[in-house]
Formats: sequence, C-alpha cells, structure tokens
Amino acid sequence: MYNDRLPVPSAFDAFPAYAGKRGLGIYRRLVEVTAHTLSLLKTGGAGMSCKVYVDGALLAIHIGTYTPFEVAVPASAGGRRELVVVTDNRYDFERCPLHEDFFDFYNYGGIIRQVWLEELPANPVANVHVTTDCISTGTIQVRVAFRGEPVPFRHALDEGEMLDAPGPEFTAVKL
Amino acid sequence: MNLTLWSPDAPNLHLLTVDTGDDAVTVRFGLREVPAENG
Repeated sequence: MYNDRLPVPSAFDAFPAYAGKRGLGIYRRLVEVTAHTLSLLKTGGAGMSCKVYVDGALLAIHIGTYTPFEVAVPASAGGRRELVVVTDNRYDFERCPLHEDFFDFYNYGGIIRQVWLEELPANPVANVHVTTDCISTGTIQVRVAFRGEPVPFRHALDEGEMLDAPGPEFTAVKL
Repeated sequence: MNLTLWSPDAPNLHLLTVDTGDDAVTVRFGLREVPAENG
C-alpha cells in the first residue's frame, strides 16, 4: 500500500511522478509516544480534504487545504503508534466546495504544511476565554476550558502575584 | 478584577495567566466599548 516516500510538507502532485494526479495521497508515520499522555496532532494544512487516523481509529475529518487544524489524540499505553493522514485532492463540490476545477489557482493535494505531534502535560488547559462583564467598572468573566475534568488552578493578572482560589468571575469547564 | 480600558490614545492590554501546576496558559486581551446607535 505504501509504495513511495515523500517529504512533508509538500504537495504530492507537485512531483513529476504524480503531476496532475487526482486521488488519495496516504501518509503514514510511526512515532514513539509517552505512556498515558494526551497529545495533539497539529497540521498547518492538508489538501484538499483529509482524514486523520491513529492506530486505525478515525479521529478527525478536515476540509480545506489552507486552514490549520489540530486533533486530540487519546492517551495510550505508550510505545509505537501509527499516524495516518489520508489526503484527497479530488474535486467534489459537496465535500469540498471551496476548491473547484478551473479556479484561479491550482489546487494541490497532500500535507502541504508542517505537521507535528505535541504531547500535553497532565490536566491540560485547552483555552482561556475572557469576556467583558461590565465595561464601566472594567470587570470581566473568565472561562477556563480543560481537556479533561477541571482541576484547581491559580491565576495572575499582568504578570503580578499568582493568586489561589479564583473568585466568582472564573468558570472552569470540560472542553 | 478592575481593569483599565483600551483606547487609541491609551491602548491598555492585559495579561491573564491560568496555572494548574502542570500546565499554564497566558492570554492577552483588552476592553473597549463599541456602541452602535440609530440602527
């Protein structure tokens, strides 16, 4: 099934052997991972659409060549894992309406930007979202999203002292 | 937390760090009122 080696990032249909080809470009990589560790597979761009598999399990589908995306990869017992990214540069208006034939640029296929696996620390924070509570008093609401169950946290404003026990303006949620 | 507002003359931005001991995330933000009047 895997009959060639190509550099990543690159477009498979930019190589002479595959010039102008429309179809699937299937990329496979074996990686050694730390046991019991959640990770993110981050991709800068893959065209024109792609499916991401880890150890044979479909984890994500992404549409669009030029938009970065990340996929949460569940923890494992460690050791070797198989990452597979199935890219598809076939025109299909229903699946991939932003990429059409005879557009004003050529639509390449393959993993066209960097891709990397990022292992996360324990109790990873997914994001911190600040919203205005009252503009006249300058107060805010803060939503802290965790990739797992929320855990206690400290906070600091403007690189000041790290404070325990966040007040009622903080909400902790599971992503 | 009482924060100073952002304006073109005083572009105050703030940093908020959340730290679990295992992981830490810092976000930068500003507060500005943008009114819409008469539709």
